[in-house]
Amino acid sequence: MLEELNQILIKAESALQEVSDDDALESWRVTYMGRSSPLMSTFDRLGQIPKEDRPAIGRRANEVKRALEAALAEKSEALRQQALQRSLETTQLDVTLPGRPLPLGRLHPSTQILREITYIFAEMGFQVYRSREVETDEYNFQLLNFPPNHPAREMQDSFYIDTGSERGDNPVLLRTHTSPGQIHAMREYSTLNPDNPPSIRLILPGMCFRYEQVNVRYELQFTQVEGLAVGESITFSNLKGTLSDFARRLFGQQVRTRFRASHFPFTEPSAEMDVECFVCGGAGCPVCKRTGWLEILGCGMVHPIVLTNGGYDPTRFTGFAFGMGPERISMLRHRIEDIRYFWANDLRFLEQF
Amino acid sequence: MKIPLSWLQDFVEIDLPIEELAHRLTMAGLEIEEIRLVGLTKSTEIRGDNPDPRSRRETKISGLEWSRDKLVVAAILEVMPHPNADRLVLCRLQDGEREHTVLTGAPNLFPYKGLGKLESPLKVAYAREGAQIFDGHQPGQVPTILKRTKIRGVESYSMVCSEKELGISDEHEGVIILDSDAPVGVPLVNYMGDAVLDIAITPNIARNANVFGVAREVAAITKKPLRVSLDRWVEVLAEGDSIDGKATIEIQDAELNPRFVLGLIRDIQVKPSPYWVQRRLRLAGMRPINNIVDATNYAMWEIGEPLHAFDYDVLVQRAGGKPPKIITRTAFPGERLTTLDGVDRSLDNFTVLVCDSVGPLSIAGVMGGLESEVTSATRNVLLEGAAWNFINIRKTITSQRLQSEAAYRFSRGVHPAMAERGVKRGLELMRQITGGG
Repeated sequence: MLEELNQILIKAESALQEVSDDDALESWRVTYMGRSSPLMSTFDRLGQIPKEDRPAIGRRANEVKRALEAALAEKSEALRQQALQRSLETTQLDVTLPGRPLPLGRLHPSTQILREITYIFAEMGFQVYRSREVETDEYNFQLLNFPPNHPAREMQDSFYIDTGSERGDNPVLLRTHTSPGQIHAMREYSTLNPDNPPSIRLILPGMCFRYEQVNVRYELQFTQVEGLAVGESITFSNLKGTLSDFARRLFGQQVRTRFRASHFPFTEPSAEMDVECFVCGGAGCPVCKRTGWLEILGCGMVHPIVLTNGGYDPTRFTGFAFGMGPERISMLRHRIEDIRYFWANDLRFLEQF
Repeated sequence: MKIPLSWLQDFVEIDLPIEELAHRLTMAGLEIEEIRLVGLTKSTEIRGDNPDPRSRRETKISGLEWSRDKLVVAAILEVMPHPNADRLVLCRLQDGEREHTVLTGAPNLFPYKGLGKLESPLKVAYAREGAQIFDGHQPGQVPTILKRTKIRGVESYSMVCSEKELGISDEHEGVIILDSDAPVGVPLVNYMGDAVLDIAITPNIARNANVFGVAREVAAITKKPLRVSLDRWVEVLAEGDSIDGKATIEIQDAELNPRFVLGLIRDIQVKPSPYWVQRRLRLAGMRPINNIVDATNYAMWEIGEPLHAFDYDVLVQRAGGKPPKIITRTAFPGERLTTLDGVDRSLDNFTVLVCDSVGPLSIAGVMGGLESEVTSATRNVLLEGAAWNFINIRKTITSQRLQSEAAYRFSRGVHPAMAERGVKRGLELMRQITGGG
């Protein structure tokens, strides 16, 4: 029996010499160490061996098994080293090649135009003021002089957040414009010194949301830049001067502007500012729909009710406010025909800016 | 808000070129979204590709200019059968220069076929060979030039036009039959050439959602006097019988209904309106129904007071033969009303109703009820003009998901003083176009 085990070991070791690849190694393992191999069947037969011989045979069988396992591990490692050596010899590796460049990100077109606008106003002394995107009806509408059921609310359908009936007339919604920031800012500044609140000059950029049918011209979300100046002797001339200068800095020194009477609940009087079409210089082209003018922003003198709601006494303070859509300006400038490109996350679009 | 220029000129003289007028109105806050030409021509200095920047077109212009010598008023003297086609007729037509034989398939001329020489000739819009019109057989407005051709063996070189072919409306069911006093041979553009201003009305100037309001702005901008004062419609009809004893009014909540005015017109005949009324309503974007409904819509578009016409005899019948009592109140719990659009509506407790002693007749300021609607059998009309709380009307239209021209105006606020003026303007028009008194 012991001899049989020695023979198994010799046979297996010599067979292992012949093995030269992984497949042969696997079939060697099955033949000499598998369930039905002579070695394994030795373990099965141990019970039939006389009791006094069992320890010696058992010990030897285990020794053979361990020896084969060690030989297998050694052979396997040797084969792996051989394969590596072969691949090093056959394929050329140039370790001096430069690494692959990582694609460099860039600013989103909305961010680019937003920053450009912000820089211009920053040069004029306007500070950036950020406010929240989730608002209450009170800040988004009521304090801005839209009472409940005001007809102007029809112009902006909103995303309301379902808070049950507990909030009554003051539900929570995604802001439909950046204007609620006017109230936040005025309240923050006026509480610094309620008897003599400081003058303010602010730019309020941010994302807005409207519940609209998405199409070429309307998106559910878009950015807006709001501007607000409040002080003791601010007039409509200041508004016109500031915005005309802004237009010249953004579109070029020669550009002309015009102000048309319009209506917003939070300003009185209200106007819309058009700039002369920067594509055709006012001669009429498809970009300006042959009118020579491009609608750029809405503006007006801050409504006395809004000033009061912000903590500024309208008999002492006046102010102007304006709002514009950076995407719209970007679309006009780059002749982008569909606003949906802005948030479609299509690299082919984004990489152009 | 579509305002025909001719209608505006009833109230104020306009001597500016139409593009200049549009520019001035736009700068004043009444943004003109589009000028639609319905016959009138663009002003000469801005035609063509004039390089002068002042000549640019600030306002979108669409529509059709009518040629002065190719489109004229004509008279059909006789309608004769076509020798080779049952669905065509031949018209003997006088265009002020000579007689022509004109071929048409217009169904509204068939009743005159074979009657011989007509006692009163039919006045029509006549297009001579080479006239530019819109193609009546293609959808939308496709310009085409009228060419000489042969139809079923009869030579045709001219035509009698439909509204669609002249760019007035989409109507192509028959040819236009003008009012009988139309002068034969006169260029059509002189007789009824027009242009429609499409104005975006912002909520702060809801007072301008009517022809008179826009005229008031034009007068202020151009420093021309208004031709008609609003007080005209207080003074008018002073000679009529008093309505005392024929109907009574009970207002239950003056906060919700600060003013309620009734007028009564008797012995009317319900029929289609004269052409000038139909044409103006179509230009304004409304659909002519019959002379009573048209008079209420016309008065609303003109001076901004929405009116509602009830069949007076139905109300008397509901009141058991007695003079009806009109009550305005909020709806009872569970109350329902079937409105003119045929929808049976469950009403909210804040909805204001116009009722009689039996039950609700209409949703105040929004839409009438089906039962008391004016029908072709109506002989006497009770006309309502009122003022309603605009916030309440807004709540009602939001809750009922119901819009109407009346609700558009009442939800933005109509001055209570307009109720009486509106009713009187409505009665004046009805007297003019229904034969009632």
